[in-house]
Amino acid sequence: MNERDKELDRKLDEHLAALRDATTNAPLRPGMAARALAAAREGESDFWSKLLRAARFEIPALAAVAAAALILAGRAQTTTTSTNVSTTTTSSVTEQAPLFPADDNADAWATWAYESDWDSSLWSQQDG
Amino acid sequence: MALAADEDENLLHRLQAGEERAFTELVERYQGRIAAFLRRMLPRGADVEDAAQAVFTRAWLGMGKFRGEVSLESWLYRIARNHAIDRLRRKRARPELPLASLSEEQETALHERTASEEADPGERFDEELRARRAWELLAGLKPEDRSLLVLKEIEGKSLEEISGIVGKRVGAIKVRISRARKKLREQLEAMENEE
Repeated sequence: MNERDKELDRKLDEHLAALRDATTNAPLRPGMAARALAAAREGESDFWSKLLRAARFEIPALAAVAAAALILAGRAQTTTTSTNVSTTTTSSVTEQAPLFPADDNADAWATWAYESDWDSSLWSQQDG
Repeated sequence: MALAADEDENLLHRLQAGEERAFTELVERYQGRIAAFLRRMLPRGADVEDAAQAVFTRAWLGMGKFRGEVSLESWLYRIARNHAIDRLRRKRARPELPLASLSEEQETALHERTASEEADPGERFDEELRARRAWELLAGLKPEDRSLLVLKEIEGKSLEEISGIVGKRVGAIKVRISRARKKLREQLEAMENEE
């Protein structure tokens, strides 16, 4: 360090010492511990009220999403069952949905009913 | 006065048991030092008492996580340092006001200190000017470097204590303090050249 730097260093120390003296022992209001504890309790109660708000609104929303996911998973599993039923869910305008399942067994009928959104009114239509 | 190691341990047990009286003891013992440190770290106009209260609130809420790896005092300084750095970072978009614009609190602290001595008015004025200049110089440092310099040169902490407070190795702290001092010397020289 050259002489100029040493001089500047000495002055810097004087400045810092003056700042130390100027900022030591400034008066504080009494009761800081009580105020800090009150703020801590308020912070904790704020945490719990946020949690309750989330429970009221966010958990039901999450539950609805989970339920929808389960339904979609269930449908995906049904469509992978091996049957000869041609699907009616994606029929085009010119294509006529089959009136009956191709195979005459319980599984085929159940799948056909599900995929064609079958309801009892269809019987009356078929029978005329 | 800082606590001896065994007193520290006893107080820590009581604090971690949730004893509010122990917390009051902690605050009364350290509030002066923590407030003084924050006063040296924060910019003009900052509410130092509010900041000190926030530090102690965080200490109370975080008491369960403290494992006694450093002294209670160092741990409080760690919380105070982190709090001050957060605030300084948020204020970085607003540069420090010039020398003449100290906050009312800083002015009061300065006047009370210098007026209480038997020194002559000329000396008091010089002291006041030096303190103001130190504030302005520190404002030119990054918050992390400012904290290291304040802890070492104003708070009088050892490098080992500072290492415990900031969680960095002593060697790294030494280098950063040395660079910070170099920067302050350059700033001081620039100020003197302008006069």
